[in-house]
Amino acid sequence: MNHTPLKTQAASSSLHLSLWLLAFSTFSLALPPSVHGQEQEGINEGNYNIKQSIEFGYRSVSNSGDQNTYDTMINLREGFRVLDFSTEMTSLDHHGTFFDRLFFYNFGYGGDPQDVSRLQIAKHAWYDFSAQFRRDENTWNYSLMANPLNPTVPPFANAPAGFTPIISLSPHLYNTRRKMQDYDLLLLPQSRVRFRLGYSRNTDEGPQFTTVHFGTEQFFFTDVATVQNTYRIGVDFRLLPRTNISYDQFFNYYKSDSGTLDQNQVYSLSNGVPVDIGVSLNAGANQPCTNTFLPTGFVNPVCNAFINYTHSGRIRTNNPTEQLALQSSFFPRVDLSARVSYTSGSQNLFDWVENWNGMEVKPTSRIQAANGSAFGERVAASADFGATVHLTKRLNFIDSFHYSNFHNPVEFDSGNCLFFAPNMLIAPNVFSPFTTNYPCNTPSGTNPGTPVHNTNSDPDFAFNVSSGFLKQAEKTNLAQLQYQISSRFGVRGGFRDRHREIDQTSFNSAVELFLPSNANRGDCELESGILPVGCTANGDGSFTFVTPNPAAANSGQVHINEYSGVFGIWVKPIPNWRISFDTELMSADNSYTRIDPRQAQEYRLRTKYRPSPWLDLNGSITIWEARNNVPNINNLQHNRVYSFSAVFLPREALTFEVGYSYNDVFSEILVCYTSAAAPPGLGNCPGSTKLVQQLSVYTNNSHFGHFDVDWHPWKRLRTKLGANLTGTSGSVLIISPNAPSGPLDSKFLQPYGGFDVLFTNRWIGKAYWAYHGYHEDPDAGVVQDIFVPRNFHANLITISVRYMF
Amino acid sequence: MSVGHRFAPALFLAAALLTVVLAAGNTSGQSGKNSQAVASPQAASTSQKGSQAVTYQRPTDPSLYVGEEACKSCHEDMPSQGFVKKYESSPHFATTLDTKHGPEWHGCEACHGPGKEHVEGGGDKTKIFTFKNASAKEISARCLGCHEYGAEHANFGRSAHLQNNVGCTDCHDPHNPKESQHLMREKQPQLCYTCHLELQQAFARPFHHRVNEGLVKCVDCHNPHGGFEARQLRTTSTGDTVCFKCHTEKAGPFVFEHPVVKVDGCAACHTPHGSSNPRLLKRSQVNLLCLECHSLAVDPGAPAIPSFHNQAVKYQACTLCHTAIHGSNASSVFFKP
Repeated sequence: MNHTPLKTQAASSSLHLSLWLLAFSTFSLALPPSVHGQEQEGINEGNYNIKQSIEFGYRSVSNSGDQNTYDTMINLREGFRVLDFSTEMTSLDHHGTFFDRLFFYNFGYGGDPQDVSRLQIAKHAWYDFSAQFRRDENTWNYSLMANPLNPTVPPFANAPAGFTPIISLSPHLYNTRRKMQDYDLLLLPQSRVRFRLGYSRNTDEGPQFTTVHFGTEQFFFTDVATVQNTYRIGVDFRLLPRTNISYDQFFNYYKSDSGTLDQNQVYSLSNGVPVDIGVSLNAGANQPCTNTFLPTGFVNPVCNAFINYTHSGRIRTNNPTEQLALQSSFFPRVDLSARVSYTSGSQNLFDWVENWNGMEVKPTSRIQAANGSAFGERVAASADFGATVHLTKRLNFIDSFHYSNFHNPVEFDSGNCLFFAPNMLIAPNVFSPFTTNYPCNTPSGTNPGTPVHNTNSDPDFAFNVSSGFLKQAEKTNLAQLQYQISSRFGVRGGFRDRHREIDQTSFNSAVELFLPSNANRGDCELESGILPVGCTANGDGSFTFVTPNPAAANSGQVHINEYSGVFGIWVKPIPNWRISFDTELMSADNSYTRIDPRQAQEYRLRTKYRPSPWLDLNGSITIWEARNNVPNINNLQHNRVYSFSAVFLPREALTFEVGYSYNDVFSEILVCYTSAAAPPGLGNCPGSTKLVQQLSVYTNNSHFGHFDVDWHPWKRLRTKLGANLTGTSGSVLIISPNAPSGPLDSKFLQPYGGFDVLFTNRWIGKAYWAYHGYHEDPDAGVVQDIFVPRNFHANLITISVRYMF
Repeated sequence: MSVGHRFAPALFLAAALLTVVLAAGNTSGQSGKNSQAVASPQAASTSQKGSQAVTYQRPTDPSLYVGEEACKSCHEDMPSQGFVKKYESSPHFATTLDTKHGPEWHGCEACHGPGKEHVEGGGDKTKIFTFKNASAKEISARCLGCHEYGAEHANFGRSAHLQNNVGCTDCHDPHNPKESQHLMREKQPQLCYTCHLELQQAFARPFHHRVNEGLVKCVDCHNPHGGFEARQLRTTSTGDTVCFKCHTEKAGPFVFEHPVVKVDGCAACHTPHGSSNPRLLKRSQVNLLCLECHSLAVDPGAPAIPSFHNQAVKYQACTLCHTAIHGSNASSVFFKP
């Protein structure tokens, strides 16, 4: 789990390459300038104009600091790369034999975290085909996320050599690869009846680590394997004038075969069996247990720890969807657009199995074997309707209506067998002799006898039926009047109303078997000497519990009515200046969560101005203000962004772009919590005598500046210099003494620069440098910041050549 | 599957019925004429009086048109070097090859309108439609005459872009595109950043969707041509939030839903474009994000944090234990998937 900051030196080979390129550039610049058009003209071959280019080269990486954070944010590695490859083919007479136009773009192959290929082929009246392949190597290892932030004081007594409670990796790190493929074919695009076919495939595979709570938080490896296939088939009918009716069928099939196991048994019991003591290591809080290590250095056998763990299941989800859509300008002065869709899918979880061997101290659980299956449905319907009524040449009435309704009923049936023992050095006893029906298989190594239970022990066997139901019905209508006063001035105003109805229900019932010893426990614990309802005594001293009169737990329907006024205006005072402003002012009579606003205002102002051909000025202000300002919530939020940019083109050979944004995020809300580090004097949370209430204030202020200079001092030379610079500061309520401010006091700096040299009309040499730096200002005294700083500094040099043919 | 398939005949019937109703409602007597046209000409009727504000009405008198060669005689290199040559290699040039429709659908005059007066006026710019000073609505009406049909463009008339006077030619350049594919003025996301400046800073944050890297495009999640969803978001084929197109494992359904995911959407907890906070979370510390909802002990919707979760000891990140926070089939408290 420990990680040493990595420092990689730039490869000497890249230095040689740089020197070689520099020499070649100098030689090249000394040559008479050749005619170099700004655009690749391509070559004519047969009936096609063909433009192709390939760029390949070598990237060297010099990184100091935390490699894990670098991989999380940047993840560009050293090595040879195909940085770009593209092909464009255009039919000269627009009557190509197989296609009129072809575009094929690729980048990132050879080891970059993102590889992309995009292809489009079209033949005017016959077909249009597009394909896309994307691969994303998704690395995550940011140490703060999900980190238990273990303190080093007090130290663990008797800890073996090399032990430290500091967890330097994210317990939820992963390195998965998502591959996304999309294929779409449109047949007879210009015909009255045209056909559409499509297929998408999305896979996610790779290693991932996670934690599971069993007394403590054990550290597990998961082999992620998910696939989603989506099939699309559709037809468009354009049999009526100015009217298109489409019918589509979609079929979505998802499967997951992910499995989890424990590979973190790095400490040992006295009998030599390795165990995983998890990632929450706090001696002062008895984590993972009291006296974690014995004086011999072995793990205490009465400790929350796992000897082994496996968890697997196969999820299969089918979602067939049909959709009918209409678009028409058939009626004079009216444009219509409508869509209706219906999905009725099913989900199955097959062969769900969870087995572990270890110790959960509080209930003295020693071995668990669970299995089960789940079945559910997803039913969703939506209907959308949009109409534009052209009342006059300048005045329009626009209405958009949206209806959606989904409900997801899902049920999980599981059986759970538990075996108990006082410590990990002792095999569990399996109750004998039985006179009741006992559905559990006896694990190997167990002994017949009487299990050792305490009053906290869970049932020896439980069969649970759990189901959930979630539904939301939503209706939204936006009606607007739009008036274009002139070609330079337009205004609109309207009203949006939105109604939501949310319903959530859960249902649980159980059959439980409580074996001796301490058989009167849990749901069969005697109440004033009387067996609770649902419990029956079996002849062998055990008790069976059946949930009496199982009833659904309904959190109640939530109705929310939102009303918004919308207003917008655009102005074009002169041809080269555009200003637009729009706002939406919302009020709701309820909220679903505490952070859902009951009042919100959104303002957007954008402007684009080109005062001269060599200058572009752009600006925007977006402001979102929200409140759920009711007693015991007191939520206020805002997100304000102020931005401007300017692009200077003083001459053809020089472009200079500069921009700046300021983002101000603020939130305050009353929260309830319990913490030994809570400041004194806080009042209790309503309805609780153990939780305190405090106003949680969060601020995040970010400054972003960027510039880019693109200069062609000579025809054969192009230079670039620029940077993207972000600085963030802010504050957050600290309710744990171990929590650092982390990213709220950080800088993310990415300057770059380099040059292109035109060797010949076909060959361009490139040399570019990029720096990526992430810096969090450490918090004094916070161990996570002291031992695991997340800062890194990386210099990347890429030497490449581009060949156009 | 079975329920969905039971609806298939019904929807087909509905489509047929709708077609009949619309046909019956066409009392103008123009349908026969227009139905002779194929896709593109069908889009804009030349005979619908009173709808001049709706679509560009192409004059059908052939004598008003001069043809491609006449345009070429002056615009060969005007307004820029190789102007016509560039146009001849663009997809719009294919309209000149059309043999089924009149000159109003061909070449330059399909977009700029009849050129006879312009030619006879010695190149008088006021005698022909120029896009430079036209409103986005006027411009878009000309483009939509051919490009309106299909799910991608069906809602452009009601889109936020057009309502803010952003028309087709603000993003597409039929004559000098920087990007040949779709004739774009600029690559994504740079094109989008020219107006949506606030997003450039979002995607430059340490944690962001890989838009600047080219893996994801703005149009993967948003339809710039409008739609029925808020913020012009796309949906999955099953009508779910667009996030589930890539993050398939979060879609469920789950026995134990974290209901806010399905009810309020991913943006309840995440900042979709970019953030200084890990996992694009809205708060820098996970526990405070959770506490914002799971606080009030009397709130039945989101249960409060248990009183034994001492935040000073080990519970700094709720997701350390509640790992399956987006939903679980096996744990009501999201301890395992």
